[in-house]
Amino acid sequence: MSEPFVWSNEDFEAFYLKHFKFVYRVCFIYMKNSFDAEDCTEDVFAKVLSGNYGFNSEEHERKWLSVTAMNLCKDKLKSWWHKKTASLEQCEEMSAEGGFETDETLKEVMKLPPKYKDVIYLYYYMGYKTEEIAEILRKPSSTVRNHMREAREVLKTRLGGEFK
Amino acid sequence: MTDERIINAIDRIEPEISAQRRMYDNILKKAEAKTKTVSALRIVKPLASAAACVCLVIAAAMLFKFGATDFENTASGGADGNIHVDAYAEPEAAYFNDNDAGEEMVAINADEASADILETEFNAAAVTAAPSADKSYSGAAESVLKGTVEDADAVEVEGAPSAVWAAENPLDDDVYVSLVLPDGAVSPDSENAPEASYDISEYDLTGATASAESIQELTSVDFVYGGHFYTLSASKEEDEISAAEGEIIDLQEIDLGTQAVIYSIDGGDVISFKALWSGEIYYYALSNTDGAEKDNFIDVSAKVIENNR
Repeated sequence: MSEPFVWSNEDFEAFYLKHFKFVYRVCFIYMKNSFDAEDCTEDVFAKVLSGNYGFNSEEHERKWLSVTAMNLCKDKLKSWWHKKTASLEQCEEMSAEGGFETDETLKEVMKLPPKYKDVIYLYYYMGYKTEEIAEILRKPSSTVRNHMREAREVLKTRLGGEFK
Repeated sequence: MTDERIINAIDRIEPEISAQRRMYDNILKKAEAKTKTVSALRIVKPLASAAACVCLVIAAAMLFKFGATDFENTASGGADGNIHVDAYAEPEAAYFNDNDAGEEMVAINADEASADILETEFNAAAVTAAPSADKSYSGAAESVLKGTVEDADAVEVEGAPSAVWAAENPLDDDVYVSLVLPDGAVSPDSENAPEASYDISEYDLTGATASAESIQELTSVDFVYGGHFYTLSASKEEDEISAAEGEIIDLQEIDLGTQAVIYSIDGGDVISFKALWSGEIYYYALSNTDGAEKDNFIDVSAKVIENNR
């Protein structure tokens, strides 16, 4: 993390516009509905702004935002699981309002437990290698490989095709 | 390409058009609220640090007053200055350190120690939560069983006098995990107890807990419930608790508070089930490989997860 600096209004707005969809997508995968995805997205950017976080590169920005979003979502899921849940059917209704369609692949990815979503998202969507994922998640490489293998097995069973 | 399926699927996620502005306004409000909280903490934190320093000084003064005691592996110091032999740690020998005698440590085997030494140095009040040197758990509030069904030194357990469990793992440190079994769990020693015609009450483990002495490696307990065998395992290392010894057919989340997941696994002749979840300190697994129904396995898992998290 680079030295803290103060965001100007213009710079922060530009930063937000550049990344808000990206962060929203991460949050939606975990929270499974648009309301909570928006809430988590707001929390991620509020953290950037209030903490005066600065970044070295766009790659650094995406990495930091991804990991922060994942962690925030998982914390929220743990804290209010017993109070409120959103079924996938509700997700489809909510996502229809947002104007996008949840295809089978997205549905199955969203059904995965968080530990599998982590590796699937970081590997397939962000393009990180196993060792990099292990460093991001602070888990042994062997654990990451196990999770990858298991996640692929489940997706293969449910969707068909191979996931390499 | 299959890789593109996931990328394309995620890329299709779009927020509402109105959400862009709405989220931005909320972000500014949340950031402002966070900044105000941080400012308040800047006043409170120094005061809290000062209070913590005062407490440390008082604690140090109290320790100095009562004198240093030896905290060797198996001895726990007490406020009364006696050296208390923690027999539950069950080392090869307990070390008796007479501070007045000087530097030399004298090794005493707890079994061979003369009664007068143990009586004069052993303060039962300090170890009421642990078993006494003869390994009986008479002071324990709950039944405590150790480890797995491997034969080992018999351990008398209040509440389940006939059940004999052995600690599987050697003592690396005195960190204990309690694997709490559900009401109605029965020792496998009872040989498929629910089907047996003999009295199985002596094997009843209802309310019993199983304690493992070392959680650095995988520790597990077998039990019978509802006519099926289960294995409950725990480890500090997630790698020790893997999902499947076989192909995963399906998985189902049942408790996000612990991220508990039920796996259906192709076990050849039968479908095996495994529940994995994480507690505050340990990773847990519950498995069944003898053809229990999935609904029944989920019920058992829910009971076990409730008491082991």
